[in-house]
Amino acid sequence: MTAGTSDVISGNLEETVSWFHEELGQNDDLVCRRFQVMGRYPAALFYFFSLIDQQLLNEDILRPLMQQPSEDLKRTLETKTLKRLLSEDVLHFGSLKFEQQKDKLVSFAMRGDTIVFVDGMDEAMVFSCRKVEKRNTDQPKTESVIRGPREGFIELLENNLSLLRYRLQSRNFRIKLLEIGQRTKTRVAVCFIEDIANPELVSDVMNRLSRVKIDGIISSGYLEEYIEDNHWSPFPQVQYSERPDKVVASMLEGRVAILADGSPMALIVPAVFSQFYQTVEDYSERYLLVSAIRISRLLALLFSLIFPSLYVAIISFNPELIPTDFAVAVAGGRAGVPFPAVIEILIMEVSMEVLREASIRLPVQIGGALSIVGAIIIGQAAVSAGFASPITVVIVALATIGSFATPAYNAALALRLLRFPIIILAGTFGLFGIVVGLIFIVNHMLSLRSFGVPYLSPFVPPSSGAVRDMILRAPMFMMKKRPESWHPQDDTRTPSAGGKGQAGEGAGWPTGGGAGGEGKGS
Amino acid sequence: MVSFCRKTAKLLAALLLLAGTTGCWDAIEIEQRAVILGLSIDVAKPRVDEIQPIAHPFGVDPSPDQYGYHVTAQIALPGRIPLGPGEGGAGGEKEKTLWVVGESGHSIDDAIANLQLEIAYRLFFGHVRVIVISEQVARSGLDHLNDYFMRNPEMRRTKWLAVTKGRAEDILKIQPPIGRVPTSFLVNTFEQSVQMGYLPNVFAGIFWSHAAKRGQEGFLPYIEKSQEENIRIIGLAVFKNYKMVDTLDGVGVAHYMALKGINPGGYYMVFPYKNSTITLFSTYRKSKIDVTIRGGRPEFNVHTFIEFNLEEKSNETFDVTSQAVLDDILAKATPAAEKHFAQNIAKTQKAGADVFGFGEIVRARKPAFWNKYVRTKENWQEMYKDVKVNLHLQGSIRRIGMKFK
Amino acid sequence: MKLVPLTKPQVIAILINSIIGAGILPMPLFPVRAAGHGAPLVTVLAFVFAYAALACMALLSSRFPRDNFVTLSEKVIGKWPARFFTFVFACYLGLLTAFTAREFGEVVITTVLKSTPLEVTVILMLVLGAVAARSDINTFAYMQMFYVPFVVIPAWLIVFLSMKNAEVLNLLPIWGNESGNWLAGILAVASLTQASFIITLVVPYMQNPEKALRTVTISILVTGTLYVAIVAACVGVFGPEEIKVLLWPTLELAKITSLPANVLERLDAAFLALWLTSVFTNILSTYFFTVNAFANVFKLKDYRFLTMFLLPFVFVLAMQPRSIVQMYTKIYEFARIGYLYMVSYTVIVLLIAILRGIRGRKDGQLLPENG
Repeated sequence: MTAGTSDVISGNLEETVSWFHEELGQNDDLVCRRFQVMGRYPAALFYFFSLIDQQLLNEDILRPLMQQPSEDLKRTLETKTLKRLLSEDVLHFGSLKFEQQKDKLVSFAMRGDTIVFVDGMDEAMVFSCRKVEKRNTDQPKTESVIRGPREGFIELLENNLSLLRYRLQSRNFRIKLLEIGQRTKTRVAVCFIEDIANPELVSDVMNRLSRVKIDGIISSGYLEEYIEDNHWSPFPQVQYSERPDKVVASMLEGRVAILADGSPMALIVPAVFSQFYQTVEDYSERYLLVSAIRISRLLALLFSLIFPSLYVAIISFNPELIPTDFAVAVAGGRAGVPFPAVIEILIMEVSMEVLREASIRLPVQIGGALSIVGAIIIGQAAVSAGFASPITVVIVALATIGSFATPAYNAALALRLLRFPIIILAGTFGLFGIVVGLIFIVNHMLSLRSFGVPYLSPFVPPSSGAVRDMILRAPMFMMKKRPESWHPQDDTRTPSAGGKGQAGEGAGWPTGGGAGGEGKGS
Repeated sequence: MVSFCRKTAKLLAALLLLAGTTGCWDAIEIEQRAVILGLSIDVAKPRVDEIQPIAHPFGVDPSPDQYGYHVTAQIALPGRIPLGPGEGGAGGEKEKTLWVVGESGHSIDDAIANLQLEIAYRLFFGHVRVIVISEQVARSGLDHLNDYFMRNPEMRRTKWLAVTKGRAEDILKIQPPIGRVPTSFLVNTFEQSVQMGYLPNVFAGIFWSHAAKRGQEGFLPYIEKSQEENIRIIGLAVFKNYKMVDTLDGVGVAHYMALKGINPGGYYMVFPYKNSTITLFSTYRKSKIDVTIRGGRPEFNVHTFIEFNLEEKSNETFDVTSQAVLDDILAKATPAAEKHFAQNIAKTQKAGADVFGFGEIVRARKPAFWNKYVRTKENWQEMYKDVKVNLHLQGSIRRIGMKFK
Repeated sequence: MKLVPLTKPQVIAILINSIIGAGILPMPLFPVRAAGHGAPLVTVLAFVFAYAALACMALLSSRFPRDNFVTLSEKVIGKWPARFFTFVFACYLGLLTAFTAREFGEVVITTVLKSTPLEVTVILMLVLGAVAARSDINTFAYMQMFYVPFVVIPAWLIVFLSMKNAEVLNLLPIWGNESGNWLAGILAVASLTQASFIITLVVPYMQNPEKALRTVTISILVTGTLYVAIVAACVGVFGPEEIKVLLWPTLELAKITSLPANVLERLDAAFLALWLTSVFTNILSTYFFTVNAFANVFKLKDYRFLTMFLLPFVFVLAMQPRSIVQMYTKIYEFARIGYLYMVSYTVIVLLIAILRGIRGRKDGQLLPENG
């Protein structure tokens, strides 16, 4: 660029227009519309037709600008500048901005805003009238519930933020926007509740995000890798969800949510291990039953991790642990199999993984039936062919099914793959191998931190408030405190004055009186 | 410098770990193991110098005993013991589920080593539930056996040891029609007897504990093969210092259990009364033993209380309709019972084998006396011969079944 | 990573895990050899002694709340004597780690993995401990806290499940029938608790260093009752004569145990697998202590590198004894001598500090930057 060019627009329309054409004119979807403001002032309108709402532009931008001014208006023109006149009297457009900086104008245009340059005005007008095709806010397929809201995030950030805002009408709910990705310039929103979330956590999140140097954010998964603490660990340290209710509940606990434009997955930090076996439904149903279900989920998780290796260890190393008759029967079942138990289990496990991957990509019509039938038939055939014993098939099937019980896919993935080293250890050292493997894994989890929070909170370090929601779900009236693990500022869920004070009325629990309670609490 | 050390240290650790994966030394597939369910120990049939020197060099006689051991094993045949409802049984012949095979040797371990050479698969002792010992071996001393079994980590302490009249391997060869696995049948004989109150719970671990104590001797179930494919517990084999010295008959077992107050009760008492025969069934036992030192010797007072059900009377010469009748029945029965009881105790005293554990009571409750005069097992074995035991049996007939006459 | 102070429950967990370790298997042998039927009483007395010794250490450490053992010794007895004595201390801790690993290896090789070479099991345990010892003090505390239930609960389970085979007569008379060498028995059991001297490493990181004595009380109470229960159960079930011929009475106790309804038999393999956890926490404690002690003696800031550096030495030490019999002889010798050394050194330093009226500063740099 020559030395004389500045980075703000001049008031000269022709100069500005030619500069703009130079910048973006190569794109054939850029439209340049020249017109006269109020019949008098030459102006030019720039927009990308692929991004804007044409009707809005016609009705609410062009029409008021091109209308002949009334007498009153002409008189007002004496007293005000054109800019003020336009913004205060003429235009009834909500999101009107004025901008001088050239590079900002370019990025606004790229974002889908309409830019209007008027001759004589040293600032351009920027209108947000973006309209992009979007899908319905339907129940997310990966996180469906029986009882609960059926809304899910979609790709557009505005819609997602609206889903959050209407659920959380607190004046302390903050949304901060960042732009990440040099080429994609994706808008990223960081959401939190100011008087609950720990300010150190929030600033930590903002720091990590601002340090991200990448050319493009396609989905929030990219962000996850950049902001997490430990890249090598198989365990996820960031939780993601497509459900606004889950995000809101997390924010109420003092966590921070991150949404990226173009991705329906919201990231929630900090994330600790106990989140990966809890679901939203746990809070909609009765607590006794839900506690039992949660325990079974946890058991399924544990089982899917060690069941095959337990089988290997007991059969090959310690058959004295199983009752005598069973031991001899198992020996009979294995008699025809040429491989040692370790190899047999490994073969079956690997085939199971391949089957699983394949069934994800099968078309829906064939997929369901084929995977079930295929699994059964293959299992049966393997037994008849003699390279697996029937008990092996049962064990592997149970372990695989158990791994589906984990609600969070990323955690389930971690446990699925950790199964293999433990099987190998079991094949080498028997029960000791399993214990050694488990100790390694647990030690790793204990040293893992997610944004400073120990990964195994609230198991260690224990906090009395969080323990109530750890394995069993305590009834709502017992969960008065927020989990201390991420040190929220306001750690009482219910306002203390609202509950007990009205003993005289006999209603201890504020139900409809949400307004009263909320007012006292904040 | 430090980072270099760190790198080499990490490398070293990784290499060390890699060494661990070079092989799985201990993995023996279950179908490669010969699972032994039961053992029997006999005196070796050929004389000792006729035993093949498979595991030790010829010409060197390693055992100072006069005879060797013949060890027989019941090996489970894989696949013949099915889980779930068996397919066999509806058809004809029942398949054999065990393979019974035996070998001789100069010592237990030698015999087992010879046995291993005969059997292709590695012998696995983790599931040995019962070991039958012939009376001949028992009378010559079990120290040898115990040493081997205690050192072997695969063996369980909860297995059953039993002494049998005659040759032990005959017991292992029985094929009872009930149940699929003969060993389970054997084990069940013992365990059910314990549950029904016929036998004190004296599995191997308890036997060793008893035998090791200074004031008590060990005992084992004494069985014999009866009828065709059956065994029967006929009493207890009384040991002194791991050598069998005597037996207590079936009633002796009842006396033992009564003295110890072991429940549930399970023995019958059959005796004549007023021209008919009454059968009483004991349901509950309670016992208290006191010890005093009199004249430099311990004297014991055994107060035993047993509850009975009247199960049978052989004719109608009298009616059982009042408490007086019940009390009278017992009053007549008790002296005979006490006499029999005293006889059994005297039997053990003669042998100097205190299976009842009187010595332990002295040691625990009169430690001063014990520490001064007894101290060792041998001393007690001697002293036991002269102690006085007073029996006070008491009974009560609680129920008479469903007939009221 | 920022460090946070340790809470009381964490310190209690650390102490409990340091005490319960490989020694729990042969443990009933010592009081039984000393007092026969009076073994439980001997165990109680042993823990009283251990409490007194550990309390001295706790008092000493909380007197100097922000000093580690080396610097507080320097303040009390002078720079070079302190360095020398604590260097011997650190070497002894390394020996302790080596012997624990060796004992563990021997038990595994004898009972379960009969064909695996001894070196492999020892290396496995040492590497596991060394890798875990690289963590900072918070992670170390979390680890101990996490594993405490897995260590304590199986032991109590074994005790309860074996009760049905116990005879009360075996536990009488309470003071036993023979007068063996009670002092030796007491010392032997007490010396099993010596790894708990790690409290001196832990106190500077505590939230409330003055509460150190209370943590000691609670942990000795917990482990003491467990150990007395184990001894009582062993004596009740086997009787002292039988115990004297067993190498690992606690393990035999587990062998007799069976779950109700015979769901699983021969629980000793499962029990051993869980016991591996307690050996691991023990070795983690002792090795962490060793490495930190050396780092403190040589004024090194970073102890992580030492975890790998000292590993070969510890391994060689562990392989020294030529047979299991020699191993146990050596362990008992060194354990007793070392324990007496630790205790007397602590008591002497404490007395001197009290007499000279020296205390440590309560303020001052609490936690090192890098942990």
